[in-house]
Amino acid sequence: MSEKEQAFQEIFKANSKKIYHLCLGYTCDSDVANDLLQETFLKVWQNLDKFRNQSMISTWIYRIAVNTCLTYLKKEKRAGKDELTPNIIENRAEEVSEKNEQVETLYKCIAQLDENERIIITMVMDEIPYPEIAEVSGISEGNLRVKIHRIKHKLTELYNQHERL
Amino acid sequence: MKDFDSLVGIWNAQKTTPKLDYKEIITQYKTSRNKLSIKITRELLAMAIAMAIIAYLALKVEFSLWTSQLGLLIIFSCGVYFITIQMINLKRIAHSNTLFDKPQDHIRFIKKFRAQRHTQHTTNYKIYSATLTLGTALYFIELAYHLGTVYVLLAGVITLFWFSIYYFYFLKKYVATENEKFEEMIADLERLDLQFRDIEE
Repeated sequence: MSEKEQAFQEIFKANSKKIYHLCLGYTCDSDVANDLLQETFLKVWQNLDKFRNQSMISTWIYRIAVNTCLTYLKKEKRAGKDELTPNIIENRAEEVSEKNEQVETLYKCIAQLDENERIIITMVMDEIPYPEIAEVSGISEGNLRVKIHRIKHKLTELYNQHERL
Repeated sequence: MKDFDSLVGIWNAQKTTPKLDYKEIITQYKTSRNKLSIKITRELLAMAIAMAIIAYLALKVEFSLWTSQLGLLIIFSCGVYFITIQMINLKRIAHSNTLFDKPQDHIRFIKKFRAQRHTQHTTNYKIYSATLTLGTALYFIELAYHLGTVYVLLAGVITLFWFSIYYFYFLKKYVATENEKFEEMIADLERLDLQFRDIEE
């Protein structure tokens, strides 16, 4: 295995799950999320040499992932804002438990948020530090804090509404 | 009733994992890079053959009218234009690094790129078709002397018929579909741009 491949393997192992969550939160479709993940890491592989010595490589990967998700526009409409696609339901139907239902509901609620809100909140839930989220999204930290506060409130309300149904 | 911390707990407990391996990505990269090279080579080869035929005709055949050479020169220029545009587009796609920009800048780049593509597909393509028709028409003038008026008229009518069908039906239909697609895409991009704008709240 070449040095580049080894570095890429480590980067993939450290970041792929979180990036997948971001893509899944954005699209609400596991197949599309996998496609977007693949597209993101293709760009990472392609430009790895340029960023090998940068300390915040995860910020850079997130930035690519966010832009890749945003470019994915046309098909996004099919996913709908309030419905989970059969894909995601099917994938989780294997093991129907209370936990799975809760995760399903959570994704359903995230799908009801605006695009930028979906991206920001998945990063918040994956415990990405605020300065890094600000750097990725290009929003000032002060403004981001206000946004996050609102999104948290909105998502919690949506979730509780769903649970009451 | 759940609070946000409970939602984070649910989020962290999820078992969703990507169905992707890092090796697949490297393989995919190598495959797509090969595909792109094949596409470029094929287009270049096809255009090189066409241009070689035109150059051969222009240099070897002794034309008695200057209109034939001018016609061939125009057709040749159209070929150069076509291949240059293809190369610029492919290069731009392959070397686009705006994915590392801030989301707003990336969205702006996509909007600009779509608008340029739209101009290329509509206005520029109309000019390209008209120029190609002019070149062909000029070339046909001398053919009329050698092949006889009937053959040239027939060739002219067929060419004109094809260009009319193309211009009034296919191009119009294509432009309408493109417009609809672009308008929808631009509206989406503008909505996103607005969401990411760093406004004072």
